[in-house]
Amino acid sequence: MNRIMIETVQHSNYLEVKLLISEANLDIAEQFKSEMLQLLNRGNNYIIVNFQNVIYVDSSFLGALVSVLKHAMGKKGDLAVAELNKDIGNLFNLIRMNKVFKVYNSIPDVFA
Amino acid sequence: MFLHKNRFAAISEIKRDFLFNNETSALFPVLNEIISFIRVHLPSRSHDGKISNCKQILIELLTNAVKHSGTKSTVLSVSIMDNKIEIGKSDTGRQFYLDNYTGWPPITWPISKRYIGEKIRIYEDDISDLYAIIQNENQIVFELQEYPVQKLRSDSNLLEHYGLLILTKMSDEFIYAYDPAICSNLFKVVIALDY
Repeated sequence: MNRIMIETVQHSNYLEVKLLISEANLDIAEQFKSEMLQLLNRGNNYIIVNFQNVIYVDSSFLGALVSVLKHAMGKKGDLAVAELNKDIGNLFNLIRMNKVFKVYNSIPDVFA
Repeated sequence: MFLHKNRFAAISEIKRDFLFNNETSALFPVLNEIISFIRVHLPSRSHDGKISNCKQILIELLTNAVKHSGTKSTVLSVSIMDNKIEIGKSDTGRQFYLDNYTGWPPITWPISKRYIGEKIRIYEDDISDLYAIIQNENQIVFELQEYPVQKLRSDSNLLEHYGLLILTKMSDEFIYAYDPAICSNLFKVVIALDY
């Protein structure tokens, strides 16, 4: 059975998707991707994923995130990430995902 | 479990094995157990960056075990030396598969001697290529070639398979070795320590 994985908050020009899980790994990557695609299909073209509760990210989850980014760009939208912990920030910097995704230290007022 | 510290040799080595049952529910507890072990032996804050790399490397090795080994358990061996950390992941499951990436006849392990030195591109996208270089009949080493990240477009080609790329990028050496005598697969990662 699927777990409740995300909570959404509407901001001025984007949707915040708060991850409620602490382990962003292969077990939940597919469900995350499909829930995100539903949000995009409902017209939420600008999304920021809030990683506040997440302890670690594995390559499967990262793959899902990139796949969602590509869908967002196909809709002339964008996907950003926020509140990465130190280890996840280190991962993003080393494999240059910080250049693929906009990275916010904290949830911004507007997606800019 | 094996715990050993050689106090008399010029280079000390602390080594311990950890058993993983290849279930995602055990991934985080095993990760914490191994990171605690490393921290005890490398308490200086100056190692925090390398320990963060070790954490991600372990996540990828454990994820790889769940996804690809096809066995009930995996052994993670961690060796802490004066100037490096070595992490090995071994199992007796599926061998590393190279066939999809070449136009050659099917490749079986041990690899035919005529392929030694060949560089096989196993992934490519707009920002990086990943190669497997055949070092000998039973061993390949992974190598990453990176390209500048251009402004992304909707038709940009980006990988969605980051496991091997992360392992290659976050380590100083990353190899796969097959031991035909015991049908064992080993992924070995070396992380150099800065002093």
